[in-house]
Amino acid sequence: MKRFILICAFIAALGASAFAQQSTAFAEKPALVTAIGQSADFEMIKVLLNRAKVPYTADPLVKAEKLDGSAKTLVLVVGASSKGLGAAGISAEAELVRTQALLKKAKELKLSIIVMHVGGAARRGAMSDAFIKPCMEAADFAIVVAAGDEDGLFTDLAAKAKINLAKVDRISSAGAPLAAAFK
Amino acid sequence: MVKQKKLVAVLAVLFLFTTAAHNVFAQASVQDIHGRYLIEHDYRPSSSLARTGWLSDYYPELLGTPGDSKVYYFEGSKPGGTLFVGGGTHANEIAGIMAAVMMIETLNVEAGRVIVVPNMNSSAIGNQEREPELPAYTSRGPSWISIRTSSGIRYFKYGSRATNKAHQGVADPSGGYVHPDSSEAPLAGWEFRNLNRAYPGRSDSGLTQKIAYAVMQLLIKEKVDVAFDYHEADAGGRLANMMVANPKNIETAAGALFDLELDYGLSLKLEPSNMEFRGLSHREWGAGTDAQAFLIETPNPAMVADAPDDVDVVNDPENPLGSRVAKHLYATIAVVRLFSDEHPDKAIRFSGLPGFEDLSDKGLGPYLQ
Repeated sequence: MKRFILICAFIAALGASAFAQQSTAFAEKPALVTAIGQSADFEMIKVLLNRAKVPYTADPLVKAEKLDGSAKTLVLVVGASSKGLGAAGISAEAELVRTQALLKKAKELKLSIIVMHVGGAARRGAMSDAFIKPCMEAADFAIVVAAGDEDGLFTDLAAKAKINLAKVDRISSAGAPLAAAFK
Repeated sequence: MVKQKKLVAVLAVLFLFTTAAHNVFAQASVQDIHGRYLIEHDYRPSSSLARTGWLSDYYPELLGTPGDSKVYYFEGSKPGGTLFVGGGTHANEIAGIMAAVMMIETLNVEAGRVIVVPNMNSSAIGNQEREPELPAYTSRGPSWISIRTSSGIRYFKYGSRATNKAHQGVADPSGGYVHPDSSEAPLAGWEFRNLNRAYPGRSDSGLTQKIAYAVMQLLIKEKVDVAFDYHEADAGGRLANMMVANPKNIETAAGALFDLELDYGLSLKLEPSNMEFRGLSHREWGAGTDAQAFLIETPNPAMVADAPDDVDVVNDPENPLGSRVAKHLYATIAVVRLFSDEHPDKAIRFSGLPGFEDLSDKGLGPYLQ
């Protein structure tokens, strides 16, 4: 009986681990990284991709019509910055329209989609959440700094979308699951 | 004759009193033989100081005005790039001043040059008058901070955010301040005396604009490669613990922030300069010179909106001065390392600064001269 309980516990732990972190590389290279909400977190993810030696192009304002299949994975750096939106000359509403069109085209082209939310609580709130929800619904994998998921929003959305969610303590810890996601 | 003797006696007493007061407070507004308006700060440079100069060397009209300020030059034995560090743009943001002072007192430059201006706005450091039109945080805090060092207790001046109205030479605009190159809505009129709304400066305007002009000339003439402006912000506010970077060098900033997290567990937020909002150092230094431009914000408890007037800006339990100074210095080190790796011909190498954890835990006292 004791052995049975131990085996069950081991299997459960394996399952939890698999859920917490993408164990199998699934994403093709190269990637296209864009900012959903125009926060400076976009710059941080570029550094992560550089250090993970993942080839990518970066365009914070890329539109659906620019997706032509040359990039195989779409990395969405999600989090709203009113300052960033203002500097980019785009309204929150227009950004949401861009996002939805981008997600639709990415699905048509069968791109892998990775959501990254690394700004913590500062990148949550009504405006950010409006971007987070459609991105998570379309994503294949998500990486979130835990401070951004204190209310469990990402956990819930990941469960609904049946995708793996990697929760990390710090942005610098996001590099390992991101690198591991690429073949 | 008796009247003359009385007059001489009164003058003698006044002279003695003035001299004594000057010695006691180690700081007074005086003019040296060149007519420079001086505040005599008790800064004790490390042995690797190459020379000192003045902001007025770059814009002679500052000479003899309360806008002039001392410039410290450190040079390595090997060639390399040039780092500029400015503290005290806002003289109430004491961690910025003390980070610059820590550099002056401990720095040993091996390659390239480091130029430090610890009091970018000399008028503001001598100005703590609470003006009714300015928010309380702009001048709240002690007049001096004291730090116990191995050579005894030392005193450092704490000032305010804005240039002294009496020094500016031009009245605050009644309709609000608009940067000459801006199309944005007017700011409060007193922002005309905010050095970090004045860049790239003007030679035909108020003292604050002239200081900004001199700083820009310094950055250009000295061919500065990396420039830091050290600031502080409301301890609970959005800006606290942030690095702001000109868009042209934001990738270097992002890389440095990763290294800070990995090496020291220090997390700073990142924000690019808003290129539409004119007058800020990181925006204008980056656009108007060859320098990569950065600004650091650390959390100052005196800048919280409802902080008490007797707030302790040195030994605050959550954000002690040592940890704030460490953030400034190690953010600078992280950027300089990346810059040097990317530009080996312009590498800037220095040592001598206290360790991140030592400074955060023990404060400034053990490391100042």
